[in-house]
Amino acid sequence: MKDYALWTEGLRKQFGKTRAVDGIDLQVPHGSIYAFLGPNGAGKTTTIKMLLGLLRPDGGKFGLLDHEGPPDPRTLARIGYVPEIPGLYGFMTTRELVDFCRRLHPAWDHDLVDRYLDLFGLPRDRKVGGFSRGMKSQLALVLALAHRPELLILDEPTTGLDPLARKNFLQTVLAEVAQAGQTVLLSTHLLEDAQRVADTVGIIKSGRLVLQKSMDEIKAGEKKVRVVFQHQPPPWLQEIPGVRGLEQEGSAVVLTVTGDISVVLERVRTVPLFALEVIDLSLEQVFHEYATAPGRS
Amino acid sequence: MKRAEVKALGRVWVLTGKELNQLRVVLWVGTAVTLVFGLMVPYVYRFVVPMLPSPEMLRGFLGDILRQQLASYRSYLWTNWYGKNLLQNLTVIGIIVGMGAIAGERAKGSLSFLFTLPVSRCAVVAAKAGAASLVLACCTVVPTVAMWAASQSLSGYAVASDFLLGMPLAWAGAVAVTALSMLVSVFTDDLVKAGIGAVGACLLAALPGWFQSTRQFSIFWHMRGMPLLAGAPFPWSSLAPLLAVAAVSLWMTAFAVKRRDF
Repeated sequence: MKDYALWTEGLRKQFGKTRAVDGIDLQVPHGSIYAFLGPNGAGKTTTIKMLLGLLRPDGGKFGLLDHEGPPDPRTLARIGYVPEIPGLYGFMTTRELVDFCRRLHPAWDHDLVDRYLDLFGLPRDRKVGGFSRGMKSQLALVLALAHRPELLILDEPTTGLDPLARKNFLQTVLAEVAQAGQTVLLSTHLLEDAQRVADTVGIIKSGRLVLQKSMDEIKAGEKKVRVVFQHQPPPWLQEIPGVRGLEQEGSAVVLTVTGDISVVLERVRTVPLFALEVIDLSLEQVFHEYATAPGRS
Repeated sequence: MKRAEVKALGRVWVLTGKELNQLRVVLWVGTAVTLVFGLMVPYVYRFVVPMLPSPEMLRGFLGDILRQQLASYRSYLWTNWYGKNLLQNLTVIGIIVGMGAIAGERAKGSLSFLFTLPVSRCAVVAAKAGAASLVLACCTVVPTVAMWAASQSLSGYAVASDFLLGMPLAWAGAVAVTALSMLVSVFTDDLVKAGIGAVGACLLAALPGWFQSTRQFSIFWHMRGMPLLAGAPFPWSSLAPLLAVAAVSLWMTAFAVKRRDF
């Protein structure tokens, strides 16, 4: 597992009778931006909390950087984390909070902190308790980046941000992080953001990882084929290797295909057709295919 | 000491500073309120006690207590301070500090921030305990010394400096209360529940003190330092169990903090 900055093997967590995470195998390559997608309650935050040692898994293994199991202080010093709702100390000012974190982190880039505080326009001498949710998210992001972590774990980091701050985060901050070769695990609902920045995607549904591919593989391998047959559609369409789904759209049949599309096209062309069209899927469509379609978990 | 250990100690010190900053309101208010109580004790004796009927005229349980307390100014001061006012104030302060230690951080959502900083959870518990001990030391020493000095200034009411020997016992008892409250606070994210749990734990710890045969098993009986009032040498046998209760509770807190889901 040394090829991966973050990995899990059969990771499980149960709350009462609910299986929040049900044996997932994540593999986040070094230097990648991994979009961790899933509907609400799919198990994203639970997985992240287990990775950070905030929750104890019921089973399975995991590792971050070169450390297996819950991260020790030495590993935590190489990780940056931004939770969905940042719980920063409201009684401190920005300056005090930055100073507190600086004294705990062996590597701290003060110039970077100053630059990002200016970029987000965060006041240095105001109490954090008086900040809006978006401002807290921005400050949490600055603190997570300040020690130039090898692995950055972001749980819905742009949820509370206004459009300008979101743009700053995606275009400036994540671009710098990617350029520096840092690995990012980005859990988000915003598929547009994920499509813009991610190079690898994992989709979790009901605690199970239903897709894990590079963005290139998704672009190349996830398609829809729209066919209008001259007669009744043949009954064997769903049995063609690679066909994951079949829908009727008026007179057309739409096949959802994963993998080598040429096999599907070859088989379909054996039947008289009026029209055949291959449609590329956006990440949003892929997400809907995997995460919202019933019975895919 | 190895370099890594020095660094770890440095981090505990940084965390302790944060905790003291967080507890500063409790520190100032706790010290001020206890100070007011402390200064009132000698002045009540000077101006109010002469107005009471003679203890010999009082009958029943209340008469017995008053006769014991008013036997001398020293016994009045000791029973009203170490046996009542300081003990009650330190217990309340100890519960407030302890119940917020983990439950408070969870309620505010800052625990995940704290636990993802590059420090061990033992260091977090040690820093919280260290800061609480300093706050309690301030709430013990400042009012007690002020009260003792006020007594010296009242003509005819000077008390020997061995009166101050009761402070370590009161402080150690308060640290034990705080440690018990911290342990309770690991198991909930609700401050009210943590407070109720801490009060319950303190009531259990107080229970043996209500009976003559079991009183040596009560934190609060040892906190009073009654052997010192009777002129006995410093009761290490009282200090040791108080520190042991504190140490065991803190160890259990650290253990629970490592194993719990947050």
